[in-house]
Amino acid sequence: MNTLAGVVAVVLGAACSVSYPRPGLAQQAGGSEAAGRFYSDPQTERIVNAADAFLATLTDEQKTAVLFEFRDIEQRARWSNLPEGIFERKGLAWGDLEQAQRAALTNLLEAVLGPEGMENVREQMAADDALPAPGRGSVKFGSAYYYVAFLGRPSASSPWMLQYGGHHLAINATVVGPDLALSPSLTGGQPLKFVSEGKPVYIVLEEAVQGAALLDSFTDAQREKAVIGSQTIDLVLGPGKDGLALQPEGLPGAGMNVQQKAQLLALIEARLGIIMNADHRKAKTAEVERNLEQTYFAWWGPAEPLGAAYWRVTGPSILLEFSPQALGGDPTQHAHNIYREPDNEYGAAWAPLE
Amino acid sequence: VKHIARRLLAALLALLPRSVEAHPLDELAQSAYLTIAPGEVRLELDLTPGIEVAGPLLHAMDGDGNRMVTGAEARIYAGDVLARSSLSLDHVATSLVAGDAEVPPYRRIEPGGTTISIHGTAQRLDSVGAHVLTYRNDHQPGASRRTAHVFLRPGNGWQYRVTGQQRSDDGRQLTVTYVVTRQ
Repeated sequence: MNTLAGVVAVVLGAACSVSYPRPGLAQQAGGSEAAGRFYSDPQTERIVNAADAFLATLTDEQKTAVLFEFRDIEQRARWSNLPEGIFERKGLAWGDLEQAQRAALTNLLEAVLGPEGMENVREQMAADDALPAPGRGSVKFGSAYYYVAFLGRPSASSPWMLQYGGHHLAINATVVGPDLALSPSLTGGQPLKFVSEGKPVYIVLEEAVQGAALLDSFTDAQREKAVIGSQTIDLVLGPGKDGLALQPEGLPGAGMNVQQKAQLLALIEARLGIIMNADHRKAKTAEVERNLEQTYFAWWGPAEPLGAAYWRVTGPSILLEFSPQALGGDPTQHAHNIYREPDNEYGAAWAPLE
Repeated sequence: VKHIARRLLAALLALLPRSVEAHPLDELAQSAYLTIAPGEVRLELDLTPGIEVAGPLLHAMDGDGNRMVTGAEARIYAGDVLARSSLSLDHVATSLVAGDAEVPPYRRIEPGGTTISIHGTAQRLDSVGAHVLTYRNDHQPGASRRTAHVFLRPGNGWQYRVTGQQRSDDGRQLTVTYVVTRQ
């Protein structure tokens, strides 16, 4: 989806349609716990089956390395934007997997993230391969240094978590019966614009375009509320910042017209589209839409060039940060982006640890 | 639609291959996390040096130059940094007391991108009604980028609600208006 052809289709589709295509409002049952036990659904079954199939390809030694306790708080928080050598991950490295194991892991990630999400993972890993290796020290880049880990055993009836990540990528997917939480998850990458297998790629193009389109749609009075500062700021709730809730700033959905609300939702869907399969995305989008009036959009930085400014979406059920990294380099080539769900980090709303 | 088309064109042009450098960082990112809690304001100031400024920062912390930052050296550095931060509560200057500092191993800071966290606290009295907090960070060892953000940690029957935030454009200063209620 994020290849040039894909994003052109998305951008042109968004630009030419009067109303944005939205998923339905079907909402999965809350709680997901009935009579003391979790129930499952077909999407969860697909995820669990894919996870079991991957684990079946591993040796006993590899299984020992990849499996952690569900309640392992240290492993939960063991994710970062930083590369190998500065940050130590645990689990099994992509570079140490056989071809069949990689295929099974890819199938699992696609079941969790959907095809667009899997494409984003491929592109982020390809970007890391395209990033020139540092000339000194122990810092290492590249797809070989992306790690998979499980917290708890894959199950349709008890909570467990899949982690996958490396430099600039962290997927934390907690499965609780029919529910799936992707909070917290880190996306972005460096370089963002590059050529992979002969095809031009721009990893965050859809988000960058949708964010800029929303800003462009504002009146002067709306812009005065939405634009907080002229300088881009750094990621606020990145790795290590679990359990914090940002106070909303900027322009709320309640202060937007119908088209602007649709644009805000399209922006949020652009992020959900790369971290959530269609089934779970449908439920999350419906939840976000219900809270859209109380969901704020805030902008720090210049309006141009595309993708050079920080923006944030803060709502009762979602936090998005888009954070270009401008420290001495090209901010349009390097981004740290976070997705969080307040009060549901690591699926805590459905499977609390205490 | 015109705006989107214009941006799309710009994006397509930007897809021309170009070389990229790995984290050519020449600034110190400073992020302040302020938490309003019963009886106090907690500050966590995160300092993330780029590779080109990690050396001078390590030099400032590593007093004896042995390529190790001891707890005592970290506390001295934390005190120096927080001495350049100021906090006022209801327009009255309040002391920020430096606490511990989380300093990763020396070799991990050298490549840049690793965060050093400095903690501090200031006492405050809870009382029902509207209040104002102003934080300012004047620590500038070189090129710096600053932000400050506020968080709430209610407890002991006290509830907090932020009613407004004002920032200086350079990120040095944050003023928060908030309301305290009693459950």
